[in-house]
Amino acid sequence: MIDEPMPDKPMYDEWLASRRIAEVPDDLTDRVIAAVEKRVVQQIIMFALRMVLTNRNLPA
Amino acid sequence: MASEDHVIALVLAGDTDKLRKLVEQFHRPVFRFAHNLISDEHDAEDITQEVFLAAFNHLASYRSVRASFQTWLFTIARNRCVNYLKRKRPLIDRDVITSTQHTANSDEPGRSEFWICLDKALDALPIEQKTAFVLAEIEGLPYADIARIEQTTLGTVKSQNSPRMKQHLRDAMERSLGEKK
Repeated sequence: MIDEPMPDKPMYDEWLASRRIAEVPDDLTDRVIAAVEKRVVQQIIMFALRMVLTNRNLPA
Repeated sequence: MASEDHVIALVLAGDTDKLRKLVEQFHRPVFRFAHNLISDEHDAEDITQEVFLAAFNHLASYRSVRASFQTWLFTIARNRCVNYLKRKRPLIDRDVITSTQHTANSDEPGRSEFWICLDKALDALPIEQKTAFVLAEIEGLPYADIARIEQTTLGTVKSQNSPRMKQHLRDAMERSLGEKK
């Protein structure tokens, strides 16, 4: 990608390396999964509600 | 590809263990990408969460023949980050950003200044160039994947974005070196 040699290339590489290190918060995985699971539960509830309402509107 | 498809099919069928594995496998690159783009750790966490929620909502529409799962996630993350930057960018004080990011690990004063200079140069790039730079140089993605994520052509990624970004950063570095001499 680099067309010309970068000035002070080692420091540039160190800077890139520093940006490749992601200090990911420990609980992020749990939070993401909890959010997705909450959304799944919401979808199930909405689906169940729609089913109930649909059945209620059906002729006896 | 086939194994990704299999895992995704299991997640769609309600396998929460596979969901956890999917999140564990990809949350780090998504967070890193968002953090490098928006420079705010807490907002990067929120965006990571939003990316997985959006991905889950549209998981049934994912097709591995079009792109890898990571590329697909990065496309969602990229769009979220661009929207965030468009909303927030005029309000961001760049000096505050550069003083809080990526400088803590630099123990030499010269290097610290140099990194701050590069942080500023990266932050000053137009959003499209910044995302392309982060994807190419930090995430190490091939141009073809970047073109998919940026929803542009391979030629655009090759001929317009990267050389300009390189030049911009090179100029910033040369300025920094000139000031140190």
